[in-house]
Amino acid sequence: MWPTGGGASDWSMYSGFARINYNYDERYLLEFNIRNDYSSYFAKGNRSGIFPSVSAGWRVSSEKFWDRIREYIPSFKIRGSYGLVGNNRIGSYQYMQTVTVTQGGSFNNELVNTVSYSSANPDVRWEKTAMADIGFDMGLLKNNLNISFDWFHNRTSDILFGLPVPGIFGNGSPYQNAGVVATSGWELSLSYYFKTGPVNHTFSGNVSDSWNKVVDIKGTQSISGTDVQTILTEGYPMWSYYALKSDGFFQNEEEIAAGPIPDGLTPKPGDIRYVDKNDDGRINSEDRFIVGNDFPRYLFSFTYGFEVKGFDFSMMWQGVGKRSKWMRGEAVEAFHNNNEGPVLDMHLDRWTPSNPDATYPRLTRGSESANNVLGSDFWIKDAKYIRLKNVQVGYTFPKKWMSKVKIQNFRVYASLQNALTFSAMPGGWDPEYTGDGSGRSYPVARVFSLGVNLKF
Amino acid sequence: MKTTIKTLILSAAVMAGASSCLSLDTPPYDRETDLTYWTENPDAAVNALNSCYNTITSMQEQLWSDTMSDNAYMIDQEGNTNAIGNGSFTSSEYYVELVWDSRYSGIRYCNELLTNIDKVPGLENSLKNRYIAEAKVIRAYHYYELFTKFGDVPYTEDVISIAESQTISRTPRAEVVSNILADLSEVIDGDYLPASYDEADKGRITKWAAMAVKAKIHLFESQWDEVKSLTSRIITEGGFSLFRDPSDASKSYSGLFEIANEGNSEVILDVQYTPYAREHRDQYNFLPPSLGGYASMSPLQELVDSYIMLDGRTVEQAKAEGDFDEDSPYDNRDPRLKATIAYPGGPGYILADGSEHVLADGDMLGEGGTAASGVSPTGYYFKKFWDNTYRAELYSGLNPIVIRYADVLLMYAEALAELGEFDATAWDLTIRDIRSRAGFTAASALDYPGNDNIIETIRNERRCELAFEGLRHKDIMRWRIAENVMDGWCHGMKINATIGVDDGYKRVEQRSFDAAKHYLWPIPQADRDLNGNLTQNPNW
Repeated sequence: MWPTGGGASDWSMYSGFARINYNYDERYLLEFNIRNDYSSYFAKGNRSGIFPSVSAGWRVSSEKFWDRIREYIPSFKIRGSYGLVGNNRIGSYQYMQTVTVTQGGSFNNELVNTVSYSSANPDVRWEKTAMADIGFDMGLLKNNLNISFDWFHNRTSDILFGLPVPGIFGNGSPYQNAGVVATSGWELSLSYYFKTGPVNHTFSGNVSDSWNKVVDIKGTQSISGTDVQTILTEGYPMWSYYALKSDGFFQNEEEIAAGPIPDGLTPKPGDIRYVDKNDDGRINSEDRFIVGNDFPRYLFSFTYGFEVKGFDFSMMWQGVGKRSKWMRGEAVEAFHNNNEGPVLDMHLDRWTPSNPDATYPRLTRGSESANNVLGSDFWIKDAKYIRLKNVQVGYTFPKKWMSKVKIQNFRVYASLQNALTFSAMPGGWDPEYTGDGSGRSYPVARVFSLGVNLKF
Repeated sequence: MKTTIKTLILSAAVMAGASSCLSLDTPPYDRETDLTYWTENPDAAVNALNSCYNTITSMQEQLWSDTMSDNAYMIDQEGNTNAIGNGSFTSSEYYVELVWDSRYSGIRYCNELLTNIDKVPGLENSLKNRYIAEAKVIRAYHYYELFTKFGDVPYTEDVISIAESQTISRTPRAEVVSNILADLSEVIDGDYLPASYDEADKGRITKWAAMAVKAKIHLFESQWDEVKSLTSRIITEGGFSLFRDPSDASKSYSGLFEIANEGNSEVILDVQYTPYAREHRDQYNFLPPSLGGYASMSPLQELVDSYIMLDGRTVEQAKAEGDFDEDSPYDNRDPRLKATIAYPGGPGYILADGSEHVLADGDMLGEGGTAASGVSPTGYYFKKFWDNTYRAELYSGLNPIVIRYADVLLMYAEALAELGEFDATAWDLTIRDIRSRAGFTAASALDYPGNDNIIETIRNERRCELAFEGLRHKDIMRWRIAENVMDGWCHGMKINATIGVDDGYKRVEQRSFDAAKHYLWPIPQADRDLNGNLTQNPNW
């Protein structure tokens, strides 16, 4: 009844590589790699990619001069690496327009053949990322406290993007080697094991940050999205939010008369006022600003646990120190889709003549909402959060009791996932949410569990 | 200094990836490349042409079109036509962009064929000319859909590159129109298209379809002489006739849209769907919940009111003369009302087994005119294009008719009326034939009433006869009446809760239409962001 889909393709890659490993007395470590890949994903002339890399390590704590402080810092290693890696993960035949024939049409209720044309870019070639990393690993307190730190900087050139193309092109977006993007970041991790009397403690933590910037896309820019609009432009993170800036609410008709107001709309008191970026007295797409992005910054997680006389406890906290999320549709608009959208407690503090300092504009529905639902930073919400992701308590029965009933190990426990969340997200939306900003996602569940571990 | 090299490893290898030892030139074998496609297979041309047919229009585009007019209302859901109907749309409106993108995608399909057909081997000349003609008519139709909505639009006959798409600018509307009219004249004057096709090719563009498309373009441009000459040729030479059910005259109008009568004597061009293999599911969006539908589109009171009385008077006249029973407003009305629209107490939907499904309690408006989820907010439901041979989930292979003979007759009538040449003969050929097929029998409805108000009569006939067939939106645009009919409240049926307001009819939505702005759609912002040479329409 329904034609089944299918396909077949060949791809091939010729690679050569060489490696030199050098290890001097477990103190100096050096490795050099070089590889040359030829990929059939690219047209002749663009197939070859040469990717060298080098890494070095110095185990400082193995040096003689370390003898005096080895007692305090038993292990310390410095390492670094630099290399090029290639990316060709775009699938076959992207460099040539292919024509696929299927039974995709009909006349007089009989199927006939139709064709479809792939969207091709004959010039597509390897994407290359130069990666630099330096870091150290350190052990303290008889290696009960371990710390490691890394700093990295990646520079991706000829980045493979399906940059949006104008509708007039009439076909989809082929991959293009669109430009240069730099990503930097750091990561600090720490683990600590210690005892206080009969209690064994473990603690570990991890903090990291990374940020990217579009360095060069040949001076072009592309904007995509309808409700949530993002921009790819030089000097800013990839797909930054591109929105009008809100400027409070119109309080009365005089303020509306003074403008600026969006083209074609007549706001009413209680509607959002926007910043007129180009000072032409009108609000339209020319007035959009770059207002953040949804890349999370300062990611962290901590776990702590202890164990004493068969009782154990552990908890894990995680969070994000800085992030924006553009919410849209029924997630934030009261009466979205005329009357199908929900009204949430965040809408209670709505603008009325007697509540001029409201946090939400006047309540509207249908075409009355047109001014307020324009893409603006009013809908971009602070998504930083900290969450007690998991907490668990358990008790393991003493072995000497259990051996009598031929049980090796018997533990009962209770755990709670997503126990606590501290977040400024309105409407109770999950700050970890990565979707399109609509309310059409499942909320995170708080899971209570009770369990028994039995081992015979 | 003592040095010891503890470890030194040197390794090297050459690997060939993939499943076997393959060359790096890996031509696909499940598809063709652009280089070989056109030159190897004589069927390359017809296969490429068939793809163009899929781009003409769709059941959805046709139905949605009426919701941008005073015929129907679309509830506000992501990506649909609601904001266009009520005038709150912006240059970022999803549906505007969708129309723009899909028309240019269709144009690219036509241009692929037209620029490559010379490479196809073994094509007989007359067949090649026919293929070219079919593609040119389809391309003209795309540009017609574009210029009627956007005014000046980029015009190209090439398969353009991305770089070109980022710099192309808008071609003046008059030039677009003259280009496509020239293409159509070439196709018609060269007689490249047959008058009909054999069974296997039924559904392709005939010479009559080419003429009808050309007539539509002239109609939008109010070029009445050209409309008259083209439509009169189709009428006298085309051999079309209004569909009539041979066994039951009362089913003639409704039968026209049934799958059993696809491709009947009235059809000039229809979109080809096929049961099971190529279906649409658009009736889901107009049927009542009791039939498994979710009525996001529903007929407006304004459309219901446009159906005249059986004796030929308008509802307004009947009301003025005290002959309109407000308690039985659907009695003694144009039979097309009940064939097109389901209303409480009216005839229902005929199921495949011949039984009748009337509207259920759960399909009705609630207290104060509220509509539960899936219930028509106007209280009315569409019936036209209901396909009782549907499969699970309301999938259907019914062809929507793009151009039919009644449309041609009404174009002819309008052209004559605008030219001041309308008379009893023209009336009998057009309105009388259409009304008599619809089921009117009273002489006062069928006989020529003279030329008083004749343009209004023809326009209203067009609205009722062709409701929900995707023509009303263009009609109100070309008649420049949108600021009258698309501004202010649109209504659903009479409910008791709001007596005193709008005569008790339910207020469904407040619409606005700015004549200085809304006669043209905005050029989609997404394209302007990628192409700095695209200018915007006034006041957007």
